[in-house]
Amino acid sequence: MKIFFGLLKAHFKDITRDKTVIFWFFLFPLIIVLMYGAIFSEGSYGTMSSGSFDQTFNLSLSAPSTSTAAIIFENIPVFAITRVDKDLALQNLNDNNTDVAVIVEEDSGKEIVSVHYNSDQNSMGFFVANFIKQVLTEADLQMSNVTRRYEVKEIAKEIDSLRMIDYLLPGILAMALMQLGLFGSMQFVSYRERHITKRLALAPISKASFLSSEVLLRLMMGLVQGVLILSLGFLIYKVPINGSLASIFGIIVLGSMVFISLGYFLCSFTHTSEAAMGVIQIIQFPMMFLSGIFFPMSFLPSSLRPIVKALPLTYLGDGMRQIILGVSGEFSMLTNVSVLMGWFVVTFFLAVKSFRWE
Amino acid sequence: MNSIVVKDLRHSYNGTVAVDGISFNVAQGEIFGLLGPNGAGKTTTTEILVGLKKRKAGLVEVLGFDPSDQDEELKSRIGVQLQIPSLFQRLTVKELLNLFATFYPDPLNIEEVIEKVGLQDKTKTISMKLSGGQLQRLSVALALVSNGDLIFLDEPTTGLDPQARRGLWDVIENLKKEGKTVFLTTHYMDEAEKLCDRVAIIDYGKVIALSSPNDLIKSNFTEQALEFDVEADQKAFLHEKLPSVSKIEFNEDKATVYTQDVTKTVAELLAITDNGFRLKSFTVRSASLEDVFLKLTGRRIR
Ligand SMILES: Nc1ncnc2c1ncn2[C@@H]1O[C@H](COP(=O)(O)OP(=O)(O)OP(=O)(O)O)[C@@H](O)[C@H]1O
Ligand SMILES: [Mg+2]
Repeated sequence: MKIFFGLLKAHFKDITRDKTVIFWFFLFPLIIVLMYGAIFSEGSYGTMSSGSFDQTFNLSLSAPSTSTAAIIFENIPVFAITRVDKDLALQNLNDNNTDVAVIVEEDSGKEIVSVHYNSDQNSMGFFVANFIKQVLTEADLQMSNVTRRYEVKEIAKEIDSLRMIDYLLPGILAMALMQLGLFGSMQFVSYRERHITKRLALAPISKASFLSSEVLLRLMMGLVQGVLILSLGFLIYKVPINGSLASIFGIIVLGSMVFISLGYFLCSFTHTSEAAMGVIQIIQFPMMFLSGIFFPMSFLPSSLRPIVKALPLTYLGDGMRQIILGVSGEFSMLTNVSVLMGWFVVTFFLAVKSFRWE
Repeated sequence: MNSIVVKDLRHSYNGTVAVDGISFNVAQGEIFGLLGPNGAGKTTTTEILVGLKKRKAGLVEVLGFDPSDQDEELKSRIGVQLQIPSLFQRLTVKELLNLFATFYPDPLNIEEVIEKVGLQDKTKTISMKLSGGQLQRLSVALALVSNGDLIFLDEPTTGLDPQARRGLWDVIENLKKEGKTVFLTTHYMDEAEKLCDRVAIIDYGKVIALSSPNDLIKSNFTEQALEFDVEADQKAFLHEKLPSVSKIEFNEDKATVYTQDVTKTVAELLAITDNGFRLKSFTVRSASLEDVFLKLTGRRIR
């Protein structure tokens, strides 16, 4: 135990005295939060063009027969419309039978379009609402009438609205944990490369205590990242933190474990830090952009979805979002946790199998 | 009682033979030196003895253990300084010594160790900011802090200034006084001659001499050398006047004469000073371990 803490302290000092480590693992994710926050804190995914959707959205529509808005909706190919009365439309939404309930009411020559959605339902309603808003605004402009004909009201249930920064923050945390796990393991490669592991192998200490101290330190760094990123999001951008501390802690630890083992596994094939860096970049770069941590999976063409569904970061990002924001996500929480557990078991096994001390 | 037993040890790296069947024993409490030119196989042997490398063939016993078994008890009883010091870069001298002290059951007091190697004013410096010699001393300090019964030092004084070298000699001699066994490698023959009870000279992975430094010198050089200045016209005349001398070498205006009987040769020299010959810059030199090394390996060291 004394040896374990001695090594933990040594690792801690050796790492934290390295300014580049502090920058990449602690400051860089915060800079990303600030950068995205500045760009997207008011924006939403609804402003993206319909071209990137290749999914249909269910609309429960209640509109008078004279409604021109209804005609516009019917001409949007991605909308699957069911015409119902107002009560049934809202009922459908309650029962999760539709993505959005759209109620059109005429009021002194204007059409008031209320888009109801559950903000926790795959976050899709939110995008549809914004899409409708954009379509009707454009229609208004084309009519070149001075007076506007459409007025869109967005009515979200539960959470007022899921802004882009809300969506992004858990994703940034997931990304930071991935990078900590993957790039963190390079520390071991450099210890191996500089023969520090060899020097330590001469002392009567177990390799397990050396490695476990390294892993524990990495986990603690992951938790610090979590605290920093979430505090920054909460304090500056008022990102709602609805999850319990225990569940946030749990998902951070699980996510870190997956990527720490994956990191060690990848590193066991390389001899130098440079080579390790290359291998890790090859893995982490596509993962970052294909995993849906920065935008909903439905934004990607369906041909890429199988890849997306194979990546552990997808599930970490989704699970993180669900836990932190208290919304529902792409997958069920059970799926997220089981897939991450599965990845952990497999990568841990592979890492142990392929491990090289020297 | 032998601390180390090595019998017909062999090791090679993908076909390159590094150690080619060497045998020697190191008795408990002695300082044993392994000498040899670059690439002779000293580091390879040392690393096999401390359990870092698995030997290809032969028998090795260190404190009764086979080092390839990676036994923790053995590791706790040996202290090791490797030729290339590899340490956490951003830990200070004191932090590293503290860390290593936690590894061993009965470590030395770290303040004492710091003083022994003379790093008192560098305790708060991180290892990557130490000079080469200071890093070397830290590396030796980490071997000492183990307080092991057997200390391995692979070129402990390489890169040290003359004062630090002598300081380290004292440290090593004190280890012996405390009853510890020391296994060291070195390129400095004066060091081996002064410190080692016995030395093994290896070359191309084979032991070519194994004995105490004195015996090695005696068995290889029975003569002593006298050196003095000489003028050009006196060169011929020396041969005839110094019958006790076996060989005379001239190097510019310096003469070196070899003899079995120094007293007789000196008397003959004094006799010719009456004939106008003047003895200048006169020295008597016995052969050193360096001469033995050169004679046996046929090469200069370093
Ligand atoms: N890791 C290695 N891979 C391949 N060859 C090696 C390796 N280490 C040493 N050798 C070779 O083995 C031989 C013995 O090397 P070793 O390091 O034991 O010599 P040494 O006596 O310690 O030399 P020096 O005085 O330079 O420290 C050399 O020819 C060297 O090139
Ligand atoms: Mg060597």
